[in-house]
Amino acid sequence: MSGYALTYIALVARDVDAACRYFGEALELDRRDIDLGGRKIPFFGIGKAAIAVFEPEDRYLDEPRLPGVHHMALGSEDPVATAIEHGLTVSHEGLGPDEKRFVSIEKKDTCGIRTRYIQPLDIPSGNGRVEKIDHLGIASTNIDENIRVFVDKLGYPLESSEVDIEIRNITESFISDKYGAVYHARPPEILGGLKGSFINIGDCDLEIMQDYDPKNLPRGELGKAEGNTKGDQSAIAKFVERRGPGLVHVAFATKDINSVLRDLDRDGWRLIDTRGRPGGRGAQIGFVHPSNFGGGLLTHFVQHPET
Amino acid sequence: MNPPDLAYVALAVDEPESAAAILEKDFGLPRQDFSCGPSNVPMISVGRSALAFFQPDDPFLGPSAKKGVHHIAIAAEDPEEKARASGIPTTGGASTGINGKNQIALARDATCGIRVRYTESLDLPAASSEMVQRIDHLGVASADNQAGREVFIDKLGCVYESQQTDSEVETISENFTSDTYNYIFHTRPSELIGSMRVTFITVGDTELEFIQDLTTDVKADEARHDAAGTTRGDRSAIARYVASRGAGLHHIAFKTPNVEESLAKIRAAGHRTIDTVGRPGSRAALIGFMHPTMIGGVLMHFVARKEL
Repeated sequence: MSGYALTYIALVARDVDAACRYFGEALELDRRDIDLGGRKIPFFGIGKAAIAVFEPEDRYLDEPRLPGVHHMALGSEDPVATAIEHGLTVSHEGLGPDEKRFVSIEKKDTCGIRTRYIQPLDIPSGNGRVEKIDHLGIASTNIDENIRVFVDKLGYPLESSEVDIEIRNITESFISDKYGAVYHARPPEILGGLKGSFINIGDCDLEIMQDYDPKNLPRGELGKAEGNTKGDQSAIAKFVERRGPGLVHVAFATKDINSVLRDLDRDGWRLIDTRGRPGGRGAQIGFVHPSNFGGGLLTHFVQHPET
Repeated sequence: MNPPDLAYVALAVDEPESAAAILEKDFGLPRQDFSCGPSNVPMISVGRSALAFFQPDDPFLGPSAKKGVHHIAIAAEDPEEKARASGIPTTGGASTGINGKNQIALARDATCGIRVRYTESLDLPAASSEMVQRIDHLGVASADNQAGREVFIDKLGCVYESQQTDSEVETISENFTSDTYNYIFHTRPSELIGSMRVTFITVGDTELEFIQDLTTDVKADEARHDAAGTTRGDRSAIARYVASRGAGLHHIAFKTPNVEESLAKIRAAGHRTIDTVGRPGSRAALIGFMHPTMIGGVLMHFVARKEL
C-alpha cells in the first residue's frame, strides 16, 4: 500500500446530533471534535480511519451537499503533488480540519466518487462495536471504468469481483384424493442482479456496484421489507438515476452482526434488517434505516466468515 | 333412486345463432333447433347432454341474466314433483320450456349460486365428434365447497367424484458468485401465492367442478386473458368472479383427445385461444383455454385426461 490510504470519510446528516449519538453511543466509537475554520466538526476514530459528520450547510463541502456519503479523503503528505503525479485535475485546494492542507479532485476524474487528498489527521480509535470501515459502497454505470481509474491509474489492488443474482422458482401442485399428485415447476425467472468489484484502499475497500440487468425496472421501496438482491439492485439503479454514479453507503465490519443489530433494535434505532442476511464476499450484511439520521445516509454492517 | 341426468346446459351469448353455428362447424357436433316461447333455441348435442343457446335478455332466462353459463337443467319425468322432493324452494311455479317441455327453476340462493332447473327430457340423441367427446365438467366459482356437497349430494342426489387442492408456491433464491470467495446460495422461505380447493360432483355424464379460493388474503391479480394461465391466475379469476357476480356457474370444459391439436384447430378456424399448449389442470389433466370472445361471452376450455 502506498501512502494514500483512507484518512476519513465525510458524511452529511440532516440530524447531526442523532448521527453523533449513533456513532458515539450506539457504536461506542471514540469522538474527537476537530477545528475547521473556527467551528468544531465531530470526528469518530474507526480502525485506521475516521468518520466526520457535517451539517448539510457546511461550506467545507462542495455542492451539492445532499445527505449521505459526501467524499472520501485519502492521506498524502503533499496533496497537490500527489494529484499532479497521478494526472488528476484539482478543482480546489485549501486548509481543512486541524489546518491540514487538502485538494479536491474533479469528480469526473474519479467516476463520480468525490475524492480528496489531505495531510494525515491524528485521530485515535479504541474498541467500539465495529472494528473498521469495511467498505464504501459506490454506484457505478461502468465497473470497468472504475477499475481503470482506481486500479490501473491510481495503483490500488483489485480485491475480488462477483455477480449476485436473484431468481424466482414457482412450483404448482395438484393433489387429488383420486387422481394422485401432479407437481409442475415453471422455469426459473431472473428477478435482478448486481455486478460488484472490490478495490482495496487501506484497511477499507471500495465496493463498486453496477446494475446487472438494466431491462429489469426498479421495484420496491427501501425499508418496506427486509432487503434482498433485487432490492439492492433497485437501490443502485435509483441512486444512479437521481444522483449519478458515486458514493452511496458506508459499511462497518463487526464480529457479531446479530448482536449489534439486536442491541440497536432494542435501543430504538430503526433497522432495515433485524438479522444478518447474505451479502457479497460470503459475508452477512444488515442495513440501518437512513431515517435515523434524517434520511439519505445509508449504512450497514458486515460480518465476514471466519477465515 | 338413480343419480340425476343432465338434460342441457343453457348458455347466454350475444348471438345464439352464430355461437351454435361455430360449435356445429368447429367442434363437429350435431345441431337441432327448438322453439322456446317466442324464441328459436339452437341446441348442440354433446355427450349425453346438450348446449342450449339464448340471448341474455331472453325472458326464459329470467331477470338480469348475464353472458356466460346460465343454468343447468336436470332431466325429470315430473319436474315439479322432483323439485318438491329435493326440499329446495322454487322460483315461481312450473312452466313450459324448450320444445314445450314442462320445467321448474330452483331458488338460486339455495343452490350455491348455481341456477338449477328440472325439465322433462328433451330426448336428444347422444353425440360426440373427433374433437369433443363430451362435457368434461362445468366450472363453478364457489364460496363454500362444503355447502356445494350438502346441496348437490345430500339434497339433489348427485354422486361425489373427487376432491383436490391446487397450490402455487414461490421460492426465491439468491446466488453470490465471486472470483475469490466461495459460492453462496441462499433460499428464502417459500411463499404460498395461490391455492384452490376443487371438488367434483357428478351430474349425468359430466361433473360440477366447485372451485374455492383458499387464499383470500392474497389480492387478486388484474384480469389477464392474453397470457397462458397459472394456478395463481385461476384463483384470481375465481376470486374476482365471486366478488363481482357472486358464486355460480363460471365456465364449461370439453373432453378432447389432445388439447394442443384441438387448440391449433380452433386457431386455424380463426378464433383466439388463451393457451397454445396444454398446461396442468385438475384431475391430472392437461387443459387449454379458448378465448371467451369465441362464442360471445362464455369461457370454455379443453381437457385431456385419463378416466379412472
